[in-house]
Amino acid sequence: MIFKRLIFVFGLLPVFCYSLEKISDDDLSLVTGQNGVSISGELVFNENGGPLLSTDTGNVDPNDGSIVWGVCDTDGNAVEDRCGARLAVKLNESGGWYALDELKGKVSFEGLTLKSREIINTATDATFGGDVADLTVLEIGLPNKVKFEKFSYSYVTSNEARPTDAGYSQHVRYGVDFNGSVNMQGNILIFPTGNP
Amino acid sequence: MLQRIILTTALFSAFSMSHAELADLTESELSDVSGEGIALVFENFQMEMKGEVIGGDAGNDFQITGIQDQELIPNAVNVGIAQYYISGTGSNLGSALDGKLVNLGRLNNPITIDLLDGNALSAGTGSWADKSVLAIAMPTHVDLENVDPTLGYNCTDASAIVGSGTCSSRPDDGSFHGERFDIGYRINRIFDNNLSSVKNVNLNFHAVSANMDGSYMRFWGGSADIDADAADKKTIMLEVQMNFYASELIFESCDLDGGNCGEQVGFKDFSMELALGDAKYHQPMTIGVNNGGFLEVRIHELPAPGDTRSGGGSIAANGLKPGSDAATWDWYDDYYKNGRKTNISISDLTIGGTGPLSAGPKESFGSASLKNLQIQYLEVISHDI
Repeated sequence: MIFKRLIFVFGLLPVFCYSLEKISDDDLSLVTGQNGVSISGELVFNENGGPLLSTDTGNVDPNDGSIVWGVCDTDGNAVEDRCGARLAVKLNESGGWYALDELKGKVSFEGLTLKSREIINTATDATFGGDVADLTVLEIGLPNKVKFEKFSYSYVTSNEARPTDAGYSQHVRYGVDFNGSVNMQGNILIFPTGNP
Repeated sequence: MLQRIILTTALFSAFSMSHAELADLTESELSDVSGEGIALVFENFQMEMKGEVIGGDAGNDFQITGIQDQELIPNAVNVGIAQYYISGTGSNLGSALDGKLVNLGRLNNPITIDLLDGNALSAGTGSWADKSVLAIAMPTHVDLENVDPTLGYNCTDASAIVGSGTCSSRPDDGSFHGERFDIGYRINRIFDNNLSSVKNVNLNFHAVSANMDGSYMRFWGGSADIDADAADKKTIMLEVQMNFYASELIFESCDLDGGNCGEQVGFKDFSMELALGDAKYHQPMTIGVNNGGFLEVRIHELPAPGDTRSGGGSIAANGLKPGSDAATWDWYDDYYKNGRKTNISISDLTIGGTGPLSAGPKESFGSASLKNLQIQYLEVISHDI
């Protein structure tokens, strides 16, 4: 068995060696920044419910009665129902928490692009109104449409981190519930700035 | 065992090929590396959210939630964003967005996210002494002392020419769309809890040829009494400069679909320079959540005479320098002269008419301004109603 593998490895080695060649400086200078990535996709948060808190009997995990998986469909059947992801942050030594609560829904986009771009200002390129710069920047091309489907969250302040903590109380500052598409145009250019 | 040896040999041979590519960094090369921040420029930018009610894509419905009325059993208050836009100038209050693009930030004066040296910001004194400060900043004003003053533009004039002011963002000059934007919201409040739909209301806000030059948010960590219990606690501190300049600011109300607009209230040459917190004089702003889960926002109290932070000495009863501790008196004098101040001004308040202010006759109520407001203490705590 070992012998077999041995032969296999030796068989591969020379192939690796011969397939690699040095690139000369001349060859390298011909390589241009043919770059760029286009990304399309969607982000989904807790589309089918969230695990935080529910008093609905239908939401109790059938295998473990101590776990409650909220199902968004039954949200509203009981007062304590919650549904969606929660991100809580405490910025102070004492006191309570800020949280993004009941974050759920879908965000999809098509044609977000990433590429590096060399900015050369010429008289014919009026994009920057004559600002002169010799810069290579990261260019994020914004998608033409970003589509929200039942995308919602609440920004809340609360006294405890988890809704299941004893004595928990929270206050909703605001929330959003987005359905539909947002139109965008343009690029975001990112580059370093010096101020150490 | 033999297997591994061979594999290792193969790996070594792979390394040896790339060995020549690695070279030591010299001391002088390393010394050129600096902690640099991130600069952002939005190029040819436009963004629009448009509800179906006002002619957007079918199904578009953007709601602000979490607001309830004061009924015994509270009803959710249904607030919809009928339209939100940020675009180049000339959008005619958001109704003609095609091709209206804008740059936010200039290549030589971009939006920045940077770490600053607190000692450099306030000469080693104040809340950010020996701290590093995270700063998120919009393009800066033209520095009138150190940079050629002829580079700036009047902040609120939509046809400002170079050399007319301190803003670095340029208005649309006909050939270049510039860095000033139109921005607006159309908000619909829809009653759906058995109340008559005639109560439905719409409120619109539009800013024309606006910029936020000089705005920044600075964050650092420190200790302060964030919940008025006379004990300092570690917290995030802020100093915020919120500048908003607009050639026109318009408030109006229309039908829910954007038609039939009533007469409007307009502010011409609106300029707001809001200074929240003043770290140099130990007045950071803190935002906390108290034990009840309520929001607490504070701009901390100016140190009183006798406090070591303001020199430790006393101020005479008549407030004059003779009779006061000279260093302490100078500290307060410096605060009133050079402390951060809030300014708000409009050149003309107009009532009536529709569309952009330049479009038709309006009743003029003249100018109004609020200058040099200093906040010595501010406490805002939310409560349930």
